[in-house]
Amino acid sequence: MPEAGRETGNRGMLAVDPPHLSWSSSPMDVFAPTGNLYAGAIWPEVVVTLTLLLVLVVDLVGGSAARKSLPALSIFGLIGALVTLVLQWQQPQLESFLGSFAADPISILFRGLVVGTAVLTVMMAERYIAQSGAPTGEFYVLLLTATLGGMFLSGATDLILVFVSLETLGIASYLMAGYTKRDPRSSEAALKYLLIGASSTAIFLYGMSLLYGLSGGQTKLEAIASSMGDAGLAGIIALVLCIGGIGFKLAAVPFHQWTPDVYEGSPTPVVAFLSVGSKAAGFALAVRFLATVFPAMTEEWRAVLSVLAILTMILGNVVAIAQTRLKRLLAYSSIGQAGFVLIGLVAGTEAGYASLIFYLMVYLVMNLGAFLCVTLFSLKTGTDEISEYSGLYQKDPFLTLCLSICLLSLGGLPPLAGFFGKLYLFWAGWQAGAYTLVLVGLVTSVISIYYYVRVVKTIVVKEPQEMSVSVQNYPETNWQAEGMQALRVGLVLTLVATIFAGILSNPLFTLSTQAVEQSPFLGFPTAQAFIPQSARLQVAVKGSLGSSAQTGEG
Amino acid sequence: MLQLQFFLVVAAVLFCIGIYGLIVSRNAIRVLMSIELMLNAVNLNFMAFSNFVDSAMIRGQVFSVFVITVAAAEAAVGLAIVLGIYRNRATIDMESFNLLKW
Repeated sequence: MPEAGRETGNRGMLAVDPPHLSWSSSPMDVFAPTGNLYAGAIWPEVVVTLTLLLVLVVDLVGGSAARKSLPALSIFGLIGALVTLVLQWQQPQLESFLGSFAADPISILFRGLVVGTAVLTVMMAERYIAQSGAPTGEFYVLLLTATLGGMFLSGATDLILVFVSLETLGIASYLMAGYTKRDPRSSEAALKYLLIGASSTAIFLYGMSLLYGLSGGQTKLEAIASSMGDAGLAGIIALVLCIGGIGFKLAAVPFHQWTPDVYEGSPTPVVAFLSVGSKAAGFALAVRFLATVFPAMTEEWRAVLSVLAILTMILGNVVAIAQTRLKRLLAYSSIGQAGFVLIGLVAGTEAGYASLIFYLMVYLVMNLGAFLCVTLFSLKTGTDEISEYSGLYQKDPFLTLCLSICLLSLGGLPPLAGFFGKLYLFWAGWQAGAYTLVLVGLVTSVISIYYYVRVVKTIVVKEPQEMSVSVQNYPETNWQAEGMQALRVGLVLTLVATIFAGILSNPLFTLSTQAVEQSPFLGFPTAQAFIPQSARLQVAVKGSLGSSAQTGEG
Repeated sequence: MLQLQFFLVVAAVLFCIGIYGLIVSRNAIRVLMSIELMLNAVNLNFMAFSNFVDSAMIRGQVFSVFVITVAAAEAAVGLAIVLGIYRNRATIDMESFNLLKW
């Protein structure tokens, strides 16, 4: 690890003064051998792309037997991408494709989050698709495309790549939302998602065009930053437009209107991907875009984001109380969770960013676990009304255990993973002086405990006569059916991770802290030069204590 | 002599017309057309800036080619979804899409 760190440090110095500046004045030299693309930075994306093409070809030419292997093929490819990401962690590529893409530690972690979500989504989807009778191949192709878009978005450092990867993610998501096209609710969800998504992209693009003009014709995020200091009103307008576009991906209030509808109408595995993978990519974009382009306007964007965070936490958690369907409840709860994560972004300290990443990791397992349970229950009973869950404890103790643990973890009860995630977030926010945000966060997480526990209480109700009709007719679980094994593996994985990620949170937290330190664009001092492990820990502690001093530099 | 401001004003007006159409249209196709208007306003902005402040590298022109391409893909997907919903519901009136409450 020390060697890797030293290399990172050197590359960090290089990134400050890129070696290719000499030829950037003459466009004809772009294809000269001197301009190294460092194409190794996108190995994980290449693996995903090859998997995507393979799935497409197998689906086209293979018979029905070959089609059964598509989920396994997708999972295999995605795990391959995860492996290349782990290898990349040893040797982060801070700048590639002439400064359009960065494979720095933060982008590696976020890409890992997107790929991890995709793996669990495939596990969830296999049975769902087999039972719904929809065509198989397209789903995996679309899912892998969306994953690809999310991965590129996590590392994009150029306006054009940000836009193209945002749309790759977006268009694939619209199509996935309308996947069960015979279901009017699904196509309605797709239409609403597409219209709101496309208009928010247009707004974001308008902001980008202003940034392009204000910076005198720059599209690299770093190059834009230098001219934002004296941009005045136009800079503020560009900032607001960009936050509007990013807020849509984060489903932050008031850009959240699409969320409940899309989550309710879309197939459950798609919802799971949107609520974790798409959101993680959105946070990657938010961190990189705001920290790189607007360092001169840090006060302004933090003020805007704290208002958004407060609204998001309050609305998401309060409206969730009134929901009667579990999918819709999870939709509102995921809005509320995004509000909590925003605290880390507003704090803007090293600990803030690290706790943001840590919370997203935890959120991945617990939220996907909850969605796995919802998928399994709705596959067996055909409903997701909360009242239909009553008495499930007597018929399916395993499902009850998984769902209860995931929901309680989402609510933030110790000693589950969600508790530690929230603890770190609130602690980082408090250190950075965001007192109002943390207080609102505390109050709303108490509210959230209420509605999560209400669901758990419905499930473990004791008396047999209180059982709902669906639970009375609850079929035996046939684990041998197509796709059920994958679902079971997913359930066990998320259950184990939710229980143990909290107690064993230190390695994960160290991982996210390292990522924040070694990503030069965030500008924390240890990113510039390598410091031995012990000294770095001290700096980390000092950094979090004297965070208010750093906030100004941000 | 045309100035940069003229182009920006036209683009801003076009963008506002797009937003207006987005809010008041009841026909789903019209909403899609409004979004195209907004994207064209963005293109106009990029072309104007590209000519006036970045005439050597013309990155703005490159950007608008990307915007046009992606907008075409988006419109294709949008029309496909509208077609799908028309088959299900025999209408494309936005007001009637209320199976999911806003």
